[in-house]
Amino acid sequence: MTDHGGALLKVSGLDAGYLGVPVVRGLDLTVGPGEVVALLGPNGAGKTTTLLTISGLLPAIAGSVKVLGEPVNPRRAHRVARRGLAHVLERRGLFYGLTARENLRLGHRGGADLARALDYFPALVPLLDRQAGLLSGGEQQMLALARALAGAPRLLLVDELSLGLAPIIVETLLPLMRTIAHDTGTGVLLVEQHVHQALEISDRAYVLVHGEVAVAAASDELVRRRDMLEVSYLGENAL
Amino acid sequence: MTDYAFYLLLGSGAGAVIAMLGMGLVLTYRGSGVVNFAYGAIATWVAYVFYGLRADGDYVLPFPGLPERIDGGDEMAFVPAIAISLATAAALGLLVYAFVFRPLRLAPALAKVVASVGVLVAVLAMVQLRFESTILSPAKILPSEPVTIARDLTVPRDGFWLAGIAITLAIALWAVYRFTRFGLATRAAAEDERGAITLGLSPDALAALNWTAAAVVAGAVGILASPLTQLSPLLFTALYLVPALGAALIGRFTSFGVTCAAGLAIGMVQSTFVQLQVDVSWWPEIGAREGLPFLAIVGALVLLGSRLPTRGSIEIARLPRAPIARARAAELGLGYAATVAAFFILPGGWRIALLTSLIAAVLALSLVVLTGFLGQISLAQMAFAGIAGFALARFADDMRIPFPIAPLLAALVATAFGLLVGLPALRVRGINLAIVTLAGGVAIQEFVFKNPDYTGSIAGGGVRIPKPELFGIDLGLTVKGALFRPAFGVMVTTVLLVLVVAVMNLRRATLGRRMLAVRANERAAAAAGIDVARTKLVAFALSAFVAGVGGTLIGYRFGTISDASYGLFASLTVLAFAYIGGIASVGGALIAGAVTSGGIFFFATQEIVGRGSSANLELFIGGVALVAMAVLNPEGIAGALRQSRASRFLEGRPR
Repeated sequence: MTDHGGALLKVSGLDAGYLGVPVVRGLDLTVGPGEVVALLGPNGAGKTTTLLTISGLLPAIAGSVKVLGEPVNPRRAHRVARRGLAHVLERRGLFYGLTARENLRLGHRGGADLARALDYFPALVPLLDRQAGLLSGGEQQMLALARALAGAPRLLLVDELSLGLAPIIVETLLPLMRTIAHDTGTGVLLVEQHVHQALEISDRAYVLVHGEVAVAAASDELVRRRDMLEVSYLGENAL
Repeated sequence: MTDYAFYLLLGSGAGAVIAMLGMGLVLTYRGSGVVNFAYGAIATWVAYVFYGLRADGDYVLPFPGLPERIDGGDEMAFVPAIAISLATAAALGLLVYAFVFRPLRLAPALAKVVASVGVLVAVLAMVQLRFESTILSPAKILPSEPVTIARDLTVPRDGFWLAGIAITLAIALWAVYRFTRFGLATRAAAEDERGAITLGLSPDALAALNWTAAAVVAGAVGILASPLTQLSPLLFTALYLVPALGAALIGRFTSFGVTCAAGLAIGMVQSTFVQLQVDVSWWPEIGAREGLPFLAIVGALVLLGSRLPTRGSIEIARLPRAPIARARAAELGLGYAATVAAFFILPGGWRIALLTSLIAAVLALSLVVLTGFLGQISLAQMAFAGIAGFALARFADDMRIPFPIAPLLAALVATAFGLLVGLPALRVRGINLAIVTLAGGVAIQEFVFKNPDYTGSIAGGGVRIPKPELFGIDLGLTVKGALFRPAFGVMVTTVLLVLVVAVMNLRRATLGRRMLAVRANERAAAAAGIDVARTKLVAFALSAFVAGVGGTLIGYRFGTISDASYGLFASLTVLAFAYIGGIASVGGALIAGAVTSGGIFFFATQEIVGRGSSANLELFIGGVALVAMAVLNPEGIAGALRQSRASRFLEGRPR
């Protein structure tokens, strides 16, 4: 393991978007080991686009993305994953035709410990032989996370963990991100709609508005300065 | 009853071939989302390579320009020959994937179908280029001594061997897909490519591996199955591909076990038809064999509604642009006059090439309506042409209906068939429809065109088409003493002009806009108040009518027609050249006519180079050009011309 100047993920001057039209402009972002970073912002701000570009599923328009010190090649996007990046996609990216166990098996890589990944989600254990498509939404999200952890990632991107889940499940799943980062030293980059819950469990947060970073600050500071958040979500004239 | 048992068992060999090809199609589809219409052609090529190695030790190379064959001395022993042949199959599968379907993995279904047709045409043309005599009788490989199963029931055992191999293959593939990481990964990538990439899997590498495996299966089938019957270039495509597609569809392009069982069943039931003909008085003598897979396909797709599982890839729907033709009356008139003048000025060979081009342009126009405007794929365009051709013989020769009426009636008969084929298109679209039309085309060819009741005896050279005559003027191509008469050329040019103007107006009319709306998105079109079903049926009818007119022109040109005039291969090449020209515009159809095999472009090249090229080389070039076109420029030549005009315009140098 080489030294990357501390950062697992280093995004600098990134323009990201579709068919050459940038959605995100001039983004600088870092995630360090054991750190939980929240990427917040209203709908259409470019959060998902950012994550897709980081994991190479979308080619960057300009700027650079370095994961574990190496640039990402979108033509060989699967190699980034092999280097230690796990991405839980917005719609979970599960294979519904395979059983939960088969999904985990595909995520399992190297010397990773499958049992340890499952330790975080004891509710999954009795469901392992069920088809992923037959699990409930919360169970599917757990499976997606467990599958990501089964590859012992060093950097974990989670897109909209709370999408379509009951609040009570979100309340148990989100703090798990903190625990995982603490236990394994994995860096976590979290896209989240539940702003306050995300701020509670994260170290730092970026707020994206119209593709540009409006606020970047420590999470506890943002909790104290709600006005900063409200301005960035609702615009200057909202207050 | 023992008779039926005998034929059922006898059919196990053919059934096994269908089953194995079906499983190979499933393998390809699950691995890459491609329905490979060239799959039978891969089996064919490997069968010929194996034959070459065994017969005289020569390894035949498939690239024009390189030496045709590597002389390996005497005939090669069995084991090295089979190893080299299967290695060839693997290499062929990998090459086709890497150069054709990998670049197309984000392309719409039409481009993939067209590209696989291109591969099919190129490979078959190469077979004909490399092997002087293409009808071969390879030596038996599997033991074929008769085995007695019960009293009065003795059958050769090679069928059982093949069936055993097919079932073993089914079990092996099932186990690989069920238990190995490779199989799981392939299933995963088929469901969600993005999800697979985030786990560090490469959908590309998986697809390449599956293609290679499927090609090896095809090669093995080619080698093992060609001794069952005579080996001929179209054997695996015409005889086995359609039932194999049927079996794969019954297995929903997913299940190896079901596909294998369905394939075996189709082959065995087909075999009993021999006895049914004897026992059942009304049983059709011809075509029932081909009718069965057609019914299986229509049943599976249309009635049961089982269609190909969609693949979770990020598809970029980039349909060819269908511009409004901007040609003015003066330009059309000029083109018409020039073509007519050419028929009077040019020598005979040129006239024939020009005729070929004009008729091909008519057929391409029929695809402009159906594929270009409506976005539906038909692999049976020549079948409509043939229906009209044979109907014309009936009307003009037997019933003595005069010239302009008889061909119009004939084209209307084709229109009726077009409506019939359009009916499944109300429920089935895209690649599924391509399969239905392919099976339908083969069924019409076997059931109608090969039936002497409709099409005259083969010994008599087919049926006669009387010469066209209008107001006492003979419009025939040849009259006693006069060959290549310009009058016929004028007639064909006039017909083409009328159709060109009609299709141009169609594009401008409300109906044309409705078709384009249906092409873009059927649901959105319906939400905007367009009757999708009616639009589709009208488009199928119009397209079949135009193809029918083309068929009558073919009839008039040759004077006599037989089933060979409107074969399956011709249907595929019509689609190929129409796509090369530009599938979505009238200009594209005219270019398609110009570049068609035997047409004006190839003839001119020949005259200029001063060296004869063969029809097969032209087809090979056509096939390769088709693939290149599908990969590099889905808008065809017409689109490329439009683009260069547009870019010149943008640079401030208008034409």
